[in-house]
Amino acid sequence: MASKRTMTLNLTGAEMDALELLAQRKELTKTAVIRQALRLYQMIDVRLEKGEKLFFEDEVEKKKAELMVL
Amino acid sequence: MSVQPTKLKWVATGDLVPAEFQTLLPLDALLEAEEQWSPRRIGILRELMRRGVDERQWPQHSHWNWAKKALELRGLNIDGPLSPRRIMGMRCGAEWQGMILVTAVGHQTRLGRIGRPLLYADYVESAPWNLEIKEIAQAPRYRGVGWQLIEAAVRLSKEMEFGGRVGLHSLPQSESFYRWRCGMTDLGPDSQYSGLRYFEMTEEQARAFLREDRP
Repeated sequence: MASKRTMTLNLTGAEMDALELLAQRKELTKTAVIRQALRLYQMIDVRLEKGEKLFFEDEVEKKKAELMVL
Repeated sequence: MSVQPTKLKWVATGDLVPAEFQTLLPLDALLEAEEQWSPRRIGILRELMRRGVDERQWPQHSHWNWAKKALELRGLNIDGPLSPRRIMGMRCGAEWQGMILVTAVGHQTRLGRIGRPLLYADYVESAPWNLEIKEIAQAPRYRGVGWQLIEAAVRLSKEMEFGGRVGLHSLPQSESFYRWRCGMTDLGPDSQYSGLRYFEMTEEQARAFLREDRP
């Protein structure tokens, strides 16, 4: 496994609540949630850089919306 | 790239021979595997046709092409440490003996508590000379490749804190391997995935799987 470095993360109460809720729902540690979020963000970023688009689709409602990512 | 020593059973003699497991492979490894495997794949198809074997008995993944997958994955930084998709493979001597492509995002548990992350195996394949094809009297060269590929996925899932949870859609010819050898739960045909059966390994099943002796 790659060597690890430690950092202090300053989050607002709401941000910490969201992180804790995700960790609870996904049964992950808070660190694992952040790692998973980084993987997802990086994947999306690389694909958008290639000119691809990100969509959410609701097959039942027949709705499709493009997600704009900064 | 990380390289770990392992062993494979050489079926002809029953000996365990040294092999290596490689993780975080670059796309070039897929091209190399396809370069090595496609002549034997074609040889198998030629022999099946020559003997008039019913097409339903042919290996169902005969059409897979790792070079095409490499093209699809181009530009996605697949060998980067944060890549959500990873290629892992087994090598014995100069030859690739098996490959697995996994994805760490976008797939969630369908067993137990729904919606937890798991590692999804997109493709798992053993080299064509490792298949047992009775119709053309082909015995496998090495045994245990598929099992070790799944083992690598389970270990990576644990490393990612997914508890060893793994999901995949199986071709009909591989269902018994995932159901009985790997101890995964069969959740039945998935209409969203060409009707292939979906299999999932829970944390408990992952623990049991890793306790098993190597074949």
